[in-house]
Amino acid sequence: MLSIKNLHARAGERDILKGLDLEVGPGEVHAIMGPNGSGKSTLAGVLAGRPDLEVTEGTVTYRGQDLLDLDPEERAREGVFLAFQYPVEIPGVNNVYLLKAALNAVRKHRGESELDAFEFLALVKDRMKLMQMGDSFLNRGVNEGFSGGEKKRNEILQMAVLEPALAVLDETDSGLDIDALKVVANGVNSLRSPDRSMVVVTHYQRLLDYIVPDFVHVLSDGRIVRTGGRELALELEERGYDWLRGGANAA
Amino acid sequence: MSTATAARGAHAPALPDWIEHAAAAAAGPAWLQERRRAGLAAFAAAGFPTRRDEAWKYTDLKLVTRRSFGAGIAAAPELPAIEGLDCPSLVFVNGRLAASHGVPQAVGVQPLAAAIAADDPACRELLATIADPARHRFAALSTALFADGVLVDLPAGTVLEQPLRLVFLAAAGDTPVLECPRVLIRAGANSRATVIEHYGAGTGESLSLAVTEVAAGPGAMIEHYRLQESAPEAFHLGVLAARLERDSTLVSHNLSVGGRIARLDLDAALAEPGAHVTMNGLYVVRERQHADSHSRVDHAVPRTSSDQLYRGVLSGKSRAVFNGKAVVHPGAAGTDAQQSNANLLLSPDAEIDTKPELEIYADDVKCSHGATTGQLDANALFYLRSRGVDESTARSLLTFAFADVVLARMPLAPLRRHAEQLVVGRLPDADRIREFT
Amino acid sequence: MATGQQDVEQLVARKYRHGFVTDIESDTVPPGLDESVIRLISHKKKEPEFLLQWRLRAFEHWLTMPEPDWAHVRIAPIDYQAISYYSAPKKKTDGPKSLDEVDPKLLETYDKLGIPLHERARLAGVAVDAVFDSVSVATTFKQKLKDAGVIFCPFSEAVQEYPELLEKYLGTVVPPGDNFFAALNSAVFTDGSFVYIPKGVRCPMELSTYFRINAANTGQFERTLIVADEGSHVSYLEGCTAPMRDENQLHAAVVELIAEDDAEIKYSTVQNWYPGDENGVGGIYNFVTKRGDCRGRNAKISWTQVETGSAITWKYPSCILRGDNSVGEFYSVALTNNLQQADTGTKMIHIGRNTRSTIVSKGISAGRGQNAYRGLVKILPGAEGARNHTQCDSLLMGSDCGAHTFPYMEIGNPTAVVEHEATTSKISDEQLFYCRQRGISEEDAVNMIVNGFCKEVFRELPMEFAVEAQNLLSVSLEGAVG
Repeated sequence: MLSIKNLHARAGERDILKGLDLEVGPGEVHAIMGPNGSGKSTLAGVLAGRPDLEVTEGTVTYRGQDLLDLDPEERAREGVFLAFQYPVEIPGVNNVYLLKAALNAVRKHRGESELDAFEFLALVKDRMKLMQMGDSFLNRGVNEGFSGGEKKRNEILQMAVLEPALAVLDETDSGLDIDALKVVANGVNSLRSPDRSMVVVTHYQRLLDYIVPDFVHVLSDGRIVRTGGRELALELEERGYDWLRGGANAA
Repeated sequence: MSTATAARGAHAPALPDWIEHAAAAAAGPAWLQERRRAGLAAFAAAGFPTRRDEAWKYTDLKLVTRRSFGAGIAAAPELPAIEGLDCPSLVFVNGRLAASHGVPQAVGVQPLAAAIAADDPACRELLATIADPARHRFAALSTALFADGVLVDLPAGTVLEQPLRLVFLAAAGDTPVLECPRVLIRAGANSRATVIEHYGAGTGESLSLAVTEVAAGPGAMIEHYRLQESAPEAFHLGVLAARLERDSTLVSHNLSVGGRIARLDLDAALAEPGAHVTMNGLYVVRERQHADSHSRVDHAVPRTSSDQLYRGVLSGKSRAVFNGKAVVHPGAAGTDAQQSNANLLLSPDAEIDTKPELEIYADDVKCSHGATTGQLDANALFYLRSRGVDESTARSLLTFAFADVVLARMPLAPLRRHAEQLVVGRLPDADRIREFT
Repeated sequence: MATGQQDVEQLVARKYRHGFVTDIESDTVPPGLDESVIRLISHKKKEPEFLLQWRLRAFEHWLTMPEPDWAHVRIAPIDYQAISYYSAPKKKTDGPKSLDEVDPKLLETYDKLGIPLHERARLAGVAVDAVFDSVSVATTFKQKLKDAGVIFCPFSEAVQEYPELLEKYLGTVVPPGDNFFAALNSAVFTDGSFVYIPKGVRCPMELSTYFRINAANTGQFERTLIVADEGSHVSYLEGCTAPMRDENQLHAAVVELIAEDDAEIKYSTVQNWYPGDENGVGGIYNFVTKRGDCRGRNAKISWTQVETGSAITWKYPSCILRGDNSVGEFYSVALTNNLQQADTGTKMIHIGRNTRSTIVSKGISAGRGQNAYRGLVKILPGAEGARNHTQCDSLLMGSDCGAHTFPYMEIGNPTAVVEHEATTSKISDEQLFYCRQRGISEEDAVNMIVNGFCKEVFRELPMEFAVEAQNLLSVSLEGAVG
């Protein structure tokens, strides 16, 4: 599904990713953990094609093609979805309008017919039920005046509608109380399938109680310094990140 | 346009005698005489403003132009008491130094006339170069006429621990008096100072052309207070112009409660990155008073910021004008300019004319302004009444609270209390609320 | 980051779609303006004496007036003697009795503009008066409107048919000497539309005038007068286009609206005059005076404008809120791209008690465009309980454009509540990236965001116009995204 080799990336003058390798197979859920500033969000941004990040070295192959060659919208249409850590507000643009434009862009790309208004609404309402969102949400501006929790739910709703092949969730748990976290995690879990992979970026292991990963990677100073199963997350919870930084140096 | 100017030039009325007299009396070294002549010429070309001048659209100076103003009379230089404020002070009567209290020799503060006589380089370098004579015709006139004032020249790294207080009093006899208080502040790199300009009540009819110029060097921090409580017959036309260099800050607190007509033009040129200006203005007018607050901030370079907060309370047949402008020049990316003006009209005969302006020539900016005129919050009023406060007292309290939003920004506590008492005393039902404030 | 900027800039450069010239023989008076030209216009229109005298008084007054110079625009000098003040397509017969007699070239012109005048293809539910240069060439649905008691006809026809109504109302909202351009218009106006809605009548369809400048070296000086008598209701639309020409052409119109007790007038404009090319060559000077008078109690006048065209726009559709409880509204989208300049806004004059006004202004600046909002909210001492809310937002696209706000508030009554808010924003790289991450192309994302920015105004437009306005905006922005 996704193969990252020796990835180096910088933001402005600052090198952030310094030789990162990661293999994600179909249907797998990978958690990327690490302290603040280790490069987690940069990795998510590079995968989605954030324009202010520059890849200086390495390759990213997604379903056999060079992901770095594609514009952000092309990646989205190929099935790469980023759930933003800070979803942006777009005043005056309806949620439902954005969703419909996005879905039809993806469908068109896949050679499928565009959905008409009825089909589309039926689909969205079904997914909204999953995310426990009220109808009034549809006619509000994109993330306009949303609480932190509403914004995150909106991200997962978009994911549920767009049905990506590779979902990258960037700190989706930050700013959520436990009830909102459960709703979001429930939404994500319902989207797990043998042909959909996920990369879950998080600072805390709490999220992983609800979205159980197949692999856990620890990112430190732009590199993956340890890989393990779910138990690695629990260990991190207990011991913090500091012992790994030392370990990385020793290794 | 050019023909109109030419026409005006051709028919420009001669300057009134009292200006000619005052100009003839103004002395100084050659460089100053040259600036005085230029100032007088600039004023003569522009003439007294009329309401056709956009900048004077709402302020009619007929009451000023009908009068003539002389030298005034001798009077005792009484320092108006401000409880709890004990700091070095200079007192001027009719624009001339009359008393000095506790001003140490070494801090860089001296009377302007003495500094000029001693050929102080700061004066030669900066005097009449910061306030734009084209925009401020009365600053130009002040340059031609002023007799004395204050030079505050802070060497790099100087920190004035105590505030410096400058008191200006007008004393008119049977005829109106002209005073031209003039202040020049040069703040060297990383210097810090608090300067208070206090325009006291004085006596009789006066015309004050009060001009302050501020040059803030890199990292300098100036906290500037301006209390204007002139006599009810006074005409006060003030200009405060500042030029701010890298990472310097000017915080201006400006309270206007006095005068028949009081105007202040407050200009800040943010000339280098990191410069910041805050303008806190409050005008409280009653009876037939007229207060006009003009402000202008020029964001000339990237990464500068400004914050303007102006409020007004109007009663009687009073009138107030607010015209605040933020200009973001081409290339001034990262500008943050905020501006807010709110007014309360307490009487059916009061009028407010407000015009918050933005002129923006760059896209990476955060600019907003808001202006409101309305009544007290009905919910707050009800809340107080439901707690047993009678309606009239509740209204006064809320009115005071509205004004106090500006005064609360004054860090100097004795001055803030003094300002609050000045405001309370001018509100209807002052006696009811004095105990609460 | 830089890429976002460049793409946006590339997005704002498509071509003006209505720039073609109709090859038709015209009856055009030679350039120049003096009393004889005014007499000639009046004579050609077979006007009654009162109207000729009215024009001549306006002309005399105009001669004494200076051109206004207070707007935030730079105007190349206008040579008023180089303009032809009358141009009309030559008629084959003595004037078309029906649409079948209208020159097919004209019908074709309006077809190309998307305004079919012919019976079969007419816009459903919209009656159109088509004004070509100085004259009205056709008016549709006249009979149906007449049955409802509504008068909708070219101004020149109203002069013949309803002189008493004209004499009663003409110039009562915008007096002939009101301002420089209104005075010029009053002296030389050639045609326009006249609407009268009788008491209690709800106009059965949208009324619309479509203005087209065709001839070179002409100005267009039309005059529109709409009277809504007690309890009546009318919605009126106007559209404008012109050929692409290298010289500037002057359009100085006057619109007067009168709403009596309980009457409502909704006036919508989609202005797409030729804006000049990307170097600022050519384009229309759009110097227009529009004012509505809420004379009666509970009257309502609502202006909605989408201004995308013209080299320079100078207009302030205003409301005089004379009647108690009357309501004024102004919804505006103004877009300036390339070297376009706009100084536009409104005046809300509150005279009556409990009068209310709402102002929503959305300015979009792109390229080297300069966009100024200028507005006046005046509360007279007698306007007890007056309310105004003004929202004034600017969207900047690129670092070479400008957005300016000059709101005047004159408040003389303590019971008034006046609120003004202004914000400035740009399309953020973050917003663009978010949309692109969802699979939406950058061009679509920009259009989506700009339309979102304008939504409060677009929803005030009648349906057919709202779609047109959105399309127009995206065309006008082509190559401007930045």
